[in-house]
Amino acid sequence: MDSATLQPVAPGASLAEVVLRTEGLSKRFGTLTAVDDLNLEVRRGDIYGLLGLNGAGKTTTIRMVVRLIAPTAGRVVAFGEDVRENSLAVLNRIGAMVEIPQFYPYLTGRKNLELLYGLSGGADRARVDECLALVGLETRGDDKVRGYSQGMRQRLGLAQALLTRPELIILDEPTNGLDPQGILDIRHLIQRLNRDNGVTFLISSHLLHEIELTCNRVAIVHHGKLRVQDDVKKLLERAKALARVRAEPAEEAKKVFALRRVEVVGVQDGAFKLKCGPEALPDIAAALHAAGCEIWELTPGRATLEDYFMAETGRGGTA
Amino acid sequence: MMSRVGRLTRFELAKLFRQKLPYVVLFPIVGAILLVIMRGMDVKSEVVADPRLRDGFEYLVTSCLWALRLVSGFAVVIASLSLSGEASQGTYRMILVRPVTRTDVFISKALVVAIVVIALFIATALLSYVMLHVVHGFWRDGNYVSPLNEGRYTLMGEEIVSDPNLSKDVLAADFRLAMALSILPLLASGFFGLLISSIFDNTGAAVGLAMFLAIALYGFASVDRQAGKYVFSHSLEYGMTIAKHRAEAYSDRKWEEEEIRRTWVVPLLSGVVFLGAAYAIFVKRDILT
Repeated sequence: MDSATLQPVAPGASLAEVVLRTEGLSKRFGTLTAVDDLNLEVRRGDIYGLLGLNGAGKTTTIRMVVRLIAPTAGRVVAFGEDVRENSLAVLNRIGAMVEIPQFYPYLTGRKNLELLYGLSGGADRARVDECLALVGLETRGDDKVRGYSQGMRQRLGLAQALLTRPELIILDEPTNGLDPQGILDIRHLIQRLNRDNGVTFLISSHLLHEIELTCNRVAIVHHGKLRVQDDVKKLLERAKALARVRAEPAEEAKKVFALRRVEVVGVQDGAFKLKCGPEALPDIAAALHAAGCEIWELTPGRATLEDYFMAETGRGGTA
Repeated sequence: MMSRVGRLTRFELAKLFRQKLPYVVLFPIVGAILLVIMRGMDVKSEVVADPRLRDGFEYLVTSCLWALRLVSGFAVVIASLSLSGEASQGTYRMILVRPVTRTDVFISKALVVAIVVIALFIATALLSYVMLHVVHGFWRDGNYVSPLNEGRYTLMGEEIVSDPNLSKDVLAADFRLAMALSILPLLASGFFGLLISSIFDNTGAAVGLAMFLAIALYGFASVDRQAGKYVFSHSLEYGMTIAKHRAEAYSDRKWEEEEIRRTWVVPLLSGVVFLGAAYAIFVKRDILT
């Protein structure tokens, strides 16, 4: 039994098999800490979203997972194996697309896939055709890649990740450059592969809505640190508990919140973000009115990942 | 590991095969250089002014040396594009996420550089041979006369002079020695390009620096002939020069074995050092492009 299987399971965590875990993963570039003590856990069957702003450390994390860069500290364990120590065994079971995929422009899309498939030991041309069809490139496979749009390259990148029928597919910003129909197609493809073939996905993105619609679990990374990691449903429940109140004078309103022990988690566009459910809002409104405050806005929390993300990353300022 | 390296090598060769343009451009240039040099060797005036017991063999060696100088520069360019090209295109992201190690990738890249250098070398030698016959061969009494020695005869202009001391086999052996001594400096030039390539993510910077250093070394070796003996790329000159001297001093061959030894030891050691350094850099570096 390897060390990966000996790790204690966190309270409340599912006992589902962990296919990918980062343990204290850190990466420094000179004085810049791009990833700081990151502990992610992707379970079999997950469509796991790695959310963060540009520069949050998502791509650096993925590059460490597929060993394009070496961690400064920590390690990546996939399928129970340390990725750096047993990279061949691990990479046999992983498909990956890191950032905007780049191919050999003087070769056709099909030839690029054939050559890349050959590197993994594959020689089945029918599989190449199948993957081209899966991403909607069956009619453009014989065109040289230099003539492809960014969206087509993105689709080809996804096709190369699918070639070896991997158990875990890692996609870095997979919908970059795609038109709305393309985004929808990719989302449906990911969900279909997950549902029908049991493929686990790790998807990094800064597109909150896309992650919300596609993923069942999500991690939010900010300035290289993990802010939260949970089921999307649970986060949405938590997002419901964030009300937005704009009342003046603000100092008086703050005193009311403190008196009623309502936590202010942030201030956005002059409005307070309060940690309270919709049921508490009538009482808060009455208290504000009694304290002489004018109420300009009082909005119960919406169940969106965007609200939760904004609160977690402090976008819009802090209280 | 062998099967992974084999797959990667086929992958690299398949890519190279589809990039025909540099090679299509290279060979007319090499052919033109050979033509100019061979035409410049006035066989008839040689007969009149200074008849010597040398023949097409020397023309072959001399023109081959010029062509191989060009091939050496080409090897530096091709090799300096090898690793940096993948980095600048961002294609390492496609290769290294597959079940191959960096060692596999490096070995295949070095192998392909070696294969290309040897292929160019053979092609240049054949082209030189063909060009020599096109330029200096002629018909006499209904028979084709090769510019190279025919049995116990040596060609001087359009005359065939009997030379009892001249052996075609000995001259052929000298030519083989010259060519064998030329492969190592060419390979060392390729591995030098590979070393520069392992440092840069930018192909322009890699090619520019590699060519600058190659030319600087060539200039240094030409100016300081004593120190130049220890410059890997300059061994090319020595290999060919030794063969030429052998031909000229045919009847009185006094060979400095040390000279010959240095001609292959210097590029061999340099090549090993370049390969080792390039490998150490490549396997340690982060792929950030």
